[in-house]
Amino acid sequence: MDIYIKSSDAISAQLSFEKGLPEYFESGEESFYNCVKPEYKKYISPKLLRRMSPIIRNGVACSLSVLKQAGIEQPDAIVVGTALGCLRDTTSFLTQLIEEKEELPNPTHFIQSTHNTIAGQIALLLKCHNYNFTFSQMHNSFETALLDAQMLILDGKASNVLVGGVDEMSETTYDLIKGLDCYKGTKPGEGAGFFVLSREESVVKFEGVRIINSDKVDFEKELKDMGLELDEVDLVIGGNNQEDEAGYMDFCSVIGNKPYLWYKPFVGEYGTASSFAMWMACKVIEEQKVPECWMKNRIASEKYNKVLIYNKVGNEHSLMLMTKNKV
Amino acid sequence: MSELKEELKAKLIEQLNLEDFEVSDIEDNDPLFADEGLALDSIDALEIIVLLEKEYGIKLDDPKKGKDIMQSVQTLADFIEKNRK
Repeated sequence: MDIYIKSSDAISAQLSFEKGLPEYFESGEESFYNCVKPEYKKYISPKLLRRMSPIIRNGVACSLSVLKQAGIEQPDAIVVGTALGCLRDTTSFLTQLIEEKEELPNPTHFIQSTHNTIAGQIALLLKCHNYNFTFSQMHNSFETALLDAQMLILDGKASNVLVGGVDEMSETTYDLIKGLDCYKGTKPGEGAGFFVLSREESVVKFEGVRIINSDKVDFEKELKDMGLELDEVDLVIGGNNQEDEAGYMDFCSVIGNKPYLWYKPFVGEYGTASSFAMWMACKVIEEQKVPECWMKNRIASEKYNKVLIYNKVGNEHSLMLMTKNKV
Repeated sequence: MSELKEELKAKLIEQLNLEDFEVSDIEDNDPLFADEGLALDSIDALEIIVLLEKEYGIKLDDPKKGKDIMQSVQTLADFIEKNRK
């Protein structure tokens, strides 16, 4: 059974929401990236909005946008990946616990500090009682959600699945993580990327996702297992943060000279950043063009029908493949 | 008393994140929980209980009285005046 990506959207540090791949970058002079705020009131009533922290606003607005694009009111499943969940609410809740000597914590922050708040809020807004799941697997959180969505469709348990990845970055979190190895030399960021995966035919076909937790990856074997001939790949989107990043050299040596896009230097590193890459892939396949500012190696292609995404943070690797449907 | 009511309005706006409200938008007798007033809900009621204890040292011992106490800024202020330590 084939799986298609019926709609996609991304809220990020760039002007991506409800748009195509931007042709220029918003300046990022801060020490970490925050999202460009969309007009939330277009999707969420002010009454509900006031209680939502930025990660919930981003997750909900992005979800409602893709559902609207796909013309779906109730998905058969809602699957969300988030590495660190609602950090601002968690920070407020814990700070209050300490300051108030474990008395009188603010109920809203407590209620909304759990990882599954975003998926829960989406379900509440849609009055959707269907399958609702949140995956938290650090830098493979989005990929795990995607794998679950894929299996739900392949097993015949769902026809349309809302799936996405969302994370947030605050001053407090930045202060805590800036010294960590996994974010060394990297500008942290945040974002939300959501998709409707469907059995119904559309332009972008979702071919699969591979999740690898290892210090060494046999790329040739992994790509072969995905049924992928390297010659057929038109475009690669890599999770590199810096020029010639050591961890990506092995991968680049296997794929050779292919058109190569990167995105983390412009949206930041976060646990579900690969959801932004998947949104990029959808846009490139749909529009058949790549704005120059996203190119890492300045190699262009005449067609963008098969896009491979590789992400790596520490020992967490993932490969995702999307193709243009022959319609 | 009028100072307390203005202070309460400001605290409600801040604590309940009432982004679209200014202190001057809230009348003393506007209903807190009805749509024609501030349209607050049960989570807001919890927030107000915490606010009363944290800011004014008043513990709401009888939850049944909550409905009368939280009718408006006026009733809240009356309750605080009578009970604050």
